[in-house]
Amino acid sequence: MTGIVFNKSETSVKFSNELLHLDIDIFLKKMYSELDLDYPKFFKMDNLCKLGMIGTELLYRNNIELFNNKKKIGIILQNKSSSLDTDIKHQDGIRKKSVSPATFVYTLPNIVIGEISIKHKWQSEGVFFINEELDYELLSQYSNILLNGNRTEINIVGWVEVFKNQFKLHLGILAKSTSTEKLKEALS
Amino acid sequence: MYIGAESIVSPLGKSAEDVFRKISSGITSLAEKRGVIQSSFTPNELELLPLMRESILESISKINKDYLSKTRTLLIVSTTKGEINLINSNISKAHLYYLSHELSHEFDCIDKGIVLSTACVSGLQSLIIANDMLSNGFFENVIICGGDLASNFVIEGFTSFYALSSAPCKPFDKDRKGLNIGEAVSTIIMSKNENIFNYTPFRFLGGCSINDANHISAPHRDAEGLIRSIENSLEICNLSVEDIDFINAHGTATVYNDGMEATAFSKLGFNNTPINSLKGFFGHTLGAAGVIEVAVSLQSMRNNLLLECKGFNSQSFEKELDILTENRKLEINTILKTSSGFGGFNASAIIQKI
Repeated sequence: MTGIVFNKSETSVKFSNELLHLDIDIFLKKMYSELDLDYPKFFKMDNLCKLGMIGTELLYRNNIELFNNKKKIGIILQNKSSSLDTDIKHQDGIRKKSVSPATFVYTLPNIVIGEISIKHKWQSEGVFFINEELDYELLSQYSNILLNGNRTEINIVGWVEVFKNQFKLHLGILAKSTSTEKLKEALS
Repeated sequence: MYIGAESIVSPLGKSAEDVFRKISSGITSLAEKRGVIQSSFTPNELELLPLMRESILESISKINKDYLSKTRTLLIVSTTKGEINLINSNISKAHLYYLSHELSHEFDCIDKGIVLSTACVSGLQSLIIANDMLSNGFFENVIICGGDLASNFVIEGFTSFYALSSAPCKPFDKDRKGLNIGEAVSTIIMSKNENIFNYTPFRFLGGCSINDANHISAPHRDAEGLIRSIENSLEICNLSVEDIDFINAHGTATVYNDGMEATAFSKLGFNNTPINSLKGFFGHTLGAAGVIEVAVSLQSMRNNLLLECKGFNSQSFEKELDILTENRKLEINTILKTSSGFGGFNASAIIQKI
């Protein structure tokens, strides 16, 4: 399990080994209380959304001046397993004849973008790609398309993956001025 | 960028022309199966990959294949659930990237394959991103293939949401009671080169997808996200409301979705613009929806024939909209396509005759 959140100051926040070896549920709970999130909706979310929320919160808090006064914040995410972690739970529900709409709504990978947008009231462009590995080329190409077309002012870009107890979080900010090479190093 | 070579593989038929012929004579594939109204193959398809292969082959037969092989070509697979029927038996195939990996290896002309999954806007957003990738010079051609199956997985899920209608859906109707799930695959090719198409292509002018930051499964009451999306698309394309001849809406036939869309169209001043939803012909095809609905709308432009909004009889919106109650012969030059979905996504795009 790895977790990196990349900041504008070009230093990355790496989670300690101790944290990363925790069971995912415990890791997420611990991060929630460490960040003092005070956002009860968090506990309704599936783990993919929780992980994306934690990553975005870290990025946001470490770069508040960058987000200030900006309205168009794009979110470009990718992972390997889509929402399969929750899909399996929904499939189990079908087998046990106890299907829950509260689970079903999380059987889509882009819900994490919805949750982040709601939390921060960001009404902007977002997209979710799926690939076996992080495709930095695609993420940076699309990020630059949005930035250069003035469709967004800054973008949250990266990898948010959860499958069973395995998780991986590599997130960064891309602005017109960002050093893409350093971000690539950190994300890849 | 240029757009055309549309293909459809659906329970209604196995080419875009065949499907258009059938639905223009009022035929729908919505029917009851195991107590649920749906549009599905008989028997239901277990796997999506063979349908995608078939659909891509049909699209490629409508273009100059050599050109595709000689220049950089991207494949975008648009799907919400992929091979979800295999979730218990073969988890590696149930990973969505399995589809883009297989297809990009099978077709020599494809240089790279990616998967986009943003719920019900996946299809339209794939076309928008294809256009962006071409305009920015990253590829010469993009094959966009959208598909999803009417799986037990999604039918059970939407049932738990009380979102399914027990009768054929009635988009924008005052008595609409919910959606029907449909399975289909549709492919469209976009290119920088107008001359690769065997049949006259169209111009994809641009579009965008905006989040309404409101609720993960409920549409925004004031339609803020959709309004902003359409406004942005008009601005990107340097057009105004009066330039739009026709709107192919999302129109799932749920009370809240269609109400939200009607609010957006009214507030923007589209009260005299003909509008339809195609869900009454082949249901809500999820990851295929944006692609198949654009494919049918391209056929509409080719034939100068707007299709009725199947299932719609009368409306009770605050301000009346021109929702098509029957087919209408009309020369149409510029169309607006919209899609909205879970996660608060609202996509819109504009396509024009050359």
